[in-house]
Amino acid sequence: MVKKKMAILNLAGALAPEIMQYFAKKGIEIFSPEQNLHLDWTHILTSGQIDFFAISAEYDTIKKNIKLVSISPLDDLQPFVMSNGKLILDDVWFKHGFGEFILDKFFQDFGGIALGDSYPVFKERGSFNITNPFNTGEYLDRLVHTAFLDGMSGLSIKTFFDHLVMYLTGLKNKGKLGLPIEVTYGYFEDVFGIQLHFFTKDLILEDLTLSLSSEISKKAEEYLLNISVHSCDFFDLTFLQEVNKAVVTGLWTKDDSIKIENRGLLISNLSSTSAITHYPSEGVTSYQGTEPVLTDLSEKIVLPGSSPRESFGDKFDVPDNQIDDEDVTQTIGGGPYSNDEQATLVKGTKDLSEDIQRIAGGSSAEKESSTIVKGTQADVDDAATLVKGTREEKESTQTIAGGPASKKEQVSIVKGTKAAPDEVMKISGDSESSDDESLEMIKGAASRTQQALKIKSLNPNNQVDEENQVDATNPIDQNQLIGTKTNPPRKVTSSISPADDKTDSENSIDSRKNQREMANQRQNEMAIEDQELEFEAPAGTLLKDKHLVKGSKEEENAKQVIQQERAKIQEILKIKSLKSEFPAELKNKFNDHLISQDKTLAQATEKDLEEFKKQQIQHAIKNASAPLESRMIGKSSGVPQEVASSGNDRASELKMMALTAENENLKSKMKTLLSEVKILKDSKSQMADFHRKAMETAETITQNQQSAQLDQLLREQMLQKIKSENGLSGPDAKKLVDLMERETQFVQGSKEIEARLKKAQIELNQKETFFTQEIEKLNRQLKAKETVITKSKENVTAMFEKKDQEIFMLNEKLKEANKVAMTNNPQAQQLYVKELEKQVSNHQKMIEIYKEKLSQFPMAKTDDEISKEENRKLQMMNTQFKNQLDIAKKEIQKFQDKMSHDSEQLINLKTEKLKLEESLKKANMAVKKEELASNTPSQLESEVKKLKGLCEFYEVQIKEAQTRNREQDVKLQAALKNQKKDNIADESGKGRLGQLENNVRKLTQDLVESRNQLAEMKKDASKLKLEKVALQNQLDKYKKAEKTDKAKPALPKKPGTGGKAA
Amino acid sequence: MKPMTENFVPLAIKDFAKKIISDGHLYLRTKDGRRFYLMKPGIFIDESFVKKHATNQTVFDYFPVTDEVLISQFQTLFKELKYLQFEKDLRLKTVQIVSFFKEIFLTEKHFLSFALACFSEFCDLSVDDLKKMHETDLYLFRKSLYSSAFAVIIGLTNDFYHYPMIKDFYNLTLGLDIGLCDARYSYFVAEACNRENQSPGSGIEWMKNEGASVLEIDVFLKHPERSYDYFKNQSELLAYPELKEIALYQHELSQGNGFPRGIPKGQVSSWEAVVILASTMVEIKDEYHFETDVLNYILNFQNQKLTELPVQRVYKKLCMSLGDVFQVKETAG
Repeated sequence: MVKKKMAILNLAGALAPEIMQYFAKKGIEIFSPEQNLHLDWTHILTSGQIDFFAISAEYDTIKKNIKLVSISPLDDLQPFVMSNGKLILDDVWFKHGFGEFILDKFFQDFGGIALGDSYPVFKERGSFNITNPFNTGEYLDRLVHTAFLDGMSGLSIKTFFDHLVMYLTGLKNKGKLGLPIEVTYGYFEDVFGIQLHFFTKDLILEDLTLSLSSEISKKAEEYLLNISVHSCDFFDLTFLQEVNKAVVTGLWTKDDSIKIENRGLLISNLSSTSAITHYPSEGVTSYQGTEPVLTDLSEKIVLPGSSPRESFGDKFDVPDNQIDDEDVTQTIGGGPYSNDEQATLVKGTKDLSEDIQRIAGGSSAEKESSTIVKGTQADVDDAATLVKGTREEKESTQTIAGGPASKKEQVSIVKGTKAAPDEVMKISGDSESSDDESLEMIKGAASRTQQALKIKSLNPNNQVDEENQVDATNPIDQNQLIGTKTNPPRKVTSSISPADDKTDSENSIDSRKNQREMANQRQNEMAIEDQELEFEAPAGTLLKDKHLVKGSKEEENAKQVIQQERAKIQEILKIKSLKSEFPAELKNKFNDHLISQDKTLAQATEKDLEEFKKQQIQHAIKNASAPLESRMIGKSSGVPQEVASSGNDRASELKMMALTAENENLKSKMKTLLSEVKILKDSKSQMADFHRKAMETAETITQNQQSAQLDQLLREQMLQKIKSENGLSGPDAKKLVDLMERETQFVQGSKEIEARLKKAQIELNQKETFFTQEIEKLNRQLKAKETVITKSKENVTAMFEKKDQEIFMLNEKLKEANKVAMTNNPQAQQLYVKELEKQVSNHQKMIEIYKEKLSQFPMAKTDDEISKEENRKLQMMNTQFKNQLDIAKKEIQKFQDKMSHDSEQLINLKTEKLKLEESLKKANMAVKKEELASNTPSQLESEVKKLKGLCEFYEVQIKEAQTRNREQDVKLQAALKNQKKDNIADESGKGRLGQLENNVRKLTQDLVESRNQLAEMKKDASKLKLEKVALQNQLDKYKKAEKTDKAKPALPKKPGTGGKAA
Repeated sequence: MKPMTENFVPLAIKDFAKKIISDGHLYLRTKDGRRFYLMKPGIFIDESFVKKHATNQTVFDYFPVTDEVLISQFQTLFKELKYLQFEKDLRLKTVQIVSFFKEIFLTEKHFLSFALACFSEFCDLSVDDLKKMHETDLYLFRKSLYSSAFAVIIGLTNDFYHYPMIKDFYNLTLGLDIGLCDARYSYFVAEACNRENQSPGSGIEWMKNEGASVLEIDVFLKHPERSYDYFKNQSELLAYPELKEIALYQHELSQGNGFPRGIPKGQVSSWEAVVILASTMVEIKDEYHFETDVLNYILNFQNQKLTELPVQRVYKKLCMSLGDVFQVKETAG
């Protein structure tokens, strides 16, 4: 396959020298749009977050498969990838040599180290397989642990992995991914990599882009991949078309310039000639052989901003001179309530105990998140009253101020009522000191200022500030609107605690979005706070002084002064709160109102505010009703009246709604506060108990100490006396004896206590071990029971299924029966019944017939089917054996025939043999005669001798054959006898048949042998015949020669010739 | 291998008929004391054999090679694995199974015990399919039985802890050669498979040299695809249906010159390698020496095979779990 020639269009402008160098090195030419060429572009280089859809539309990137390459990082990946974006690579990667490799991989379509040495060799650190995506905790722990040990950001790796696995799970649910997922991770120098690969089919670009949304929403599926991509420094997604697999690789570096944010993305589609990137390691990892110990590496997690000033300044661009150290160092929740450092102070009340709202995290005895509200001035430095939950919420009652004065306890004074002209809602905790020990002062519409609710301290993520600022700008406090009925302290905590704050996604999203705006707001607020502190400072100093002289007259005076100061501050705060609480229009109106009375904002009193509010509320009610009327009119007449209704009406309507909501909010808050009061009471009583006990124990301790001191003094005196007087007087001696006794008693007592202690410790240890063992046992039993339960569940479910099926069947039957019952009329039923009766009678007849038939059968006596089958089998066997026997008989007959034939042949042979013997004898006689008559040659004699020997040998053989024949006859007879016996008892044939078969086999073998022998004998006999013929011929010749010799006269011998031998 | 000692026990046909797979050596003794060797351990017992001897009520001489206790121990371990959920529990149970396997097969225990335990626990192939394999070649089923048991232990040692996954590996390996079950299957095809195992890539050449017919070559070359089709049609057989692709990988090689696809280097995943290795470890033979020498066989598996097959990583992990590391380095490709 020849690759298409690359034609790269550069829309990115000036390129980094490294990139330019790379293209020059590879001989790739880049064209700029100014050249105005119309080539078949293969790649387009871009830079920055531009309109990728426009580029896609202009160049038709998707249809023509023109790959977009961004040479700078992108925040929003979705449009880029949707426009056929394939590579994002920042030039910072060229510092590592990775950039070149990545470009190689992208432009030349390859992966894996086998294709070149330029790729750095990763060393494997671990691997695992994911079969269940929700079962990866341990693997992930190991992975993160390894990353931490390598100095990598384990958290980003964890985020990458979690989101990616969940994204892949989503793909699996779509039927586009197959399990398992193989995960390998390793490192090379300062680069850490994770690679996941899995089977995938029919994956389309949409599957990627749908999860690449940069907007964080409640639908996590929409941004899973985006978060995964942004959690790593380089993200590589490679498809292997040949094998229907996809490989995802995440790379992390230690380079700060890269790890700040994601600087790379690669989406490639490898052809069949490519190979995947994998880690040929120096060894493979296996958790079977080695199980690394996981240590606690929590210390590696460091939240940003080690110094508050740094974090604050970095985040919000606030000048250093505007940041107060104390403001920044104040912390939220988490510690014991006695620790002032971990208290949350409501802004503007740094030194005013009344307005302190302390929110404790979890160090109270009940381990509940709790709200500590500092109450009275007297308790400024005491541990604040602990509010636990809302268990006794029902007990708390609510009364609007102005009601019976006797119900001083738990009184809620709703601000703005006539009975409470001071417009302050107070929740009194104690009847005796309802003013002094007011637990929390909640300012109403006017007092709920941005400053009042704002918490001065900042959490590391600045979310608290953000939230409070959001709340302050919002007329309806979200967290308070939620209501504190269910768990008020927790809610209060959640509105401030950074950890819980994350769960409230909407707020957090808003806060993140408006982060920078908030920073600016914060800057403005800081200025306001500084102004407020000017008011607060004298009160604070007084309070501090008063604390030193607690319970004195000075304290009362100080209280008065503080109250006065506080009232002033509250008034100012209430007025100032309008700035943020009221809409701009109202603020302006209020300013106009003050101007009309020739007053400035600083000179404005509470009365002014009250007057203004009354006017405005009346006006607002009028305005609120107006749009409704106008809408009604508009609807009836068809005229678009909304055009006529001004923005003011809407604003006032909204304001009304906000006010009502706020009212509700305040009511709910009041309820919670009442419950808090109740709980505070309880806790106070508990505290008193503790205090009393502590006093008692302190007294005993002091007594003991005093007695010890006395003893010591006495001892010293005695020693001095002994030294000075060389002896002791009677009373002194007694004293000394008493002292010694006491000492001995003390020593004994201490020893006993020590022994008890040791015993207790031993017992404790024993108990501990015992309990741990018991716990382990119980755990095992639990597991076993769980397995049993699961098994039994399975069985039960199977049973249920069966039963359900049965029930279903029965129901169906019932339905059918019902249908029949419903459809048939009585006549038809009668007919049906008659038919049934007929059928029954027929069946009965048939039964009788069969019974008769059965009685006729002899085997019917035993109805058992098994016996029938056995009988059948036996009959079968019988017939088989009979057949076999017949076959055997036939064979035996054949053998007998053969035997008779053979015996005949033998007889013939014998006769021939006799003839031959006779002829031989004759020949011998003739030879003898010839010998006698003339001197026969010695050769003939020798031959005759040989012939005689042979004859003797054959005679012996013939005799042996005869004996064998006889034996065979005997065996045959025996076999025939057996056969006869078998015929008699042919049904017991199994074993006998076997014997017969064996006998037959043996007989056949013997027959074969005898046949062979006979054949050999025949051959010998034929040889003998031939020899006999030859001998006879010779004899004839000799005879003829003799006759001729006798008839012819003897001729005289010629000289020189030898005479012929006779 | 035939037993060296003659500790035979009589086994009536009715008892033998209860077994699905022969778990010992089976002999038929004649009246004169001569013994005819009828069946090896690991052979599928077909109905015709049982019927034939049931009519005669034959009592065989039998030499069992398996250990019933061992089989039940392995079965309980597998069952325990089945009911576990959390990864750590699964991993620990897997470690327990592997260490038990190692402990057992350090001695000369017969591998069939493990194979039978796996068969009873994991086998989901229908009896007809098993019979089909047996009828095609007596030793084809036996080969599949042993290789699928190897797949279980290879899977467990390669960090595959989940019961359904192991079960899928088993069934895939058991049915991997079902594509060979064809009317044109012959000695040439079986031997070509063995040659391919002994020296990857040489099977087809051997067939051509020996003059095998085109149809026989076709059976050999297309059996991975036929096996794939079989798994494709058995939709409920596998818990992870995507794994059926493995059937296509059984004769793929490291350098991308295998068949049927010729997959490029480095694109074979570990789950595929598990089955490939298991299939490679057993040939279609009448005798296996590894039966009583399992661990040595695993740890000394031939180097040549491993270098040419994409299974090195999986094999290394297997050895790391079963043997000592030094031995692994020597033997691994």
